[in-house]
Amino acid sequence: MTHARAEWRGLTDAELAARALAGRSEAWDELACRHTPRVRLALLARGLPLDLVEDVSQEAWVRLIEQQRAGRLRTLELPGLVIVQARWLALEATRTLARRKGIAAKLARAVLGDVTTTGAGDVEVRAVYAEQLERVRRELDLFPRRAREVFSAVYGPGGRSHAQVAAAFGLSVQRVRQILCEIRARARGALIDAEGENDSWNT
Amino acid sequence: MEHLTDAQLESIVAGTFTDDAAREHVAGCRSCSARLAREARVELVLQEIAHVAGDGTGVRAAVLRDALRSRRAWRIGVSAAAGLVVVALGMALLSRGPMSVQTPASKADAVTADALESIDTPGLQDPRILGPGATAFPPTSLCRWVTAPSSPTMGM
Repeated sequence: MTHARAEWRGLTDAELAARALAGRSEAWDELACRHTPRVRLALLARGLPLDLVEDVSQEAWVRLIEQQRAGRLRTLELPGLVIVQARWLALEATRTLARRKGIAAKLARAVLGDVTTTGAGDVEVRAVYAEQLERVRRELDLFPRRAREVFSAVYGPGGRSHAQVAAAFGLSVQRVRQILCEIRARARGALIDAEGENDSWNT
Repeated sequence: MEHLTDAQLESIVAGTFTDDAAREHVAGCRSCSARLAREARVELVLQEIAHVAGDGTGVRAAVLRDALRSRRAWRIGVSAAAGLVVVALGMALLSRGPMSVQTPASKADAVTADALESIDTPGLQDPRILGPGATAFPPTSLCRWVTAPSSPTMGM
């Protein structure tokens, strides 16, 4: 990593956003590095095809930069703004696909229902999501404190690599992976149970 | 190709998976697509929990708490409203007593009321006091009670 890159990495999101709005390309690069994984996840979680997700999660940044250069971007709240942009691009792409092939109609409805739903629908989806979070959180609480600390170190703010966490906790990398695998399995089970009651993601 | 393993799906979600054949398989396999979407949701939820735990007083935590609270409040509100409706209906039935039928006022009653009201209308008590060219129109309902006697000479 170059010194300049390290310097940009040390900035907070708000500082980077201010510089990005001022037209600094390094700030845009750093923001894209930080938030693209989250954009991909949000789209994949909606069941969008992997190729489409890869395309629109890059294209969304290009659109935002274009908006900024055209002077139409006053604030930059991330990752929300870029996720919304990516979802709109996915919607457009899916509509085109649906027009070309009738078989994609169901997919288009799924995306349409998500992007164009406002008000009560959004609140409902958010509430269901909050319930799912609670369930998974309760499952996580059942793990030993050490396992929860490993989880927080990997997934929390400034998430560290498996190797870094292993060194910090005096564990082997294999053991760290095993702990995370168990946590994921438990979270997956809780999520499946929750989704069985509230099928909000796919409606 | 066989279905993808959980580890492969996790790698795709993490953005570290580069096997083109597996990616093509996901594109054409409904089961693996659904599993991939669920794996992404697991990842989202875990990240959310870790971040909320790291920033318990943050906006995100507050938003989620509000969402949960509003949902609970909505459920409680609906239950309470339904209970109130049932109680109100029950009280209304109990307080009505024996059934009685009220008929609407007849048209004749309404006409009489109109006629009484029109007595004090200026110019209608004695049409002869009106000046030249003046015209008074009695209430139309009064016309119902004016009957012209039939005259055999007019052939009626």
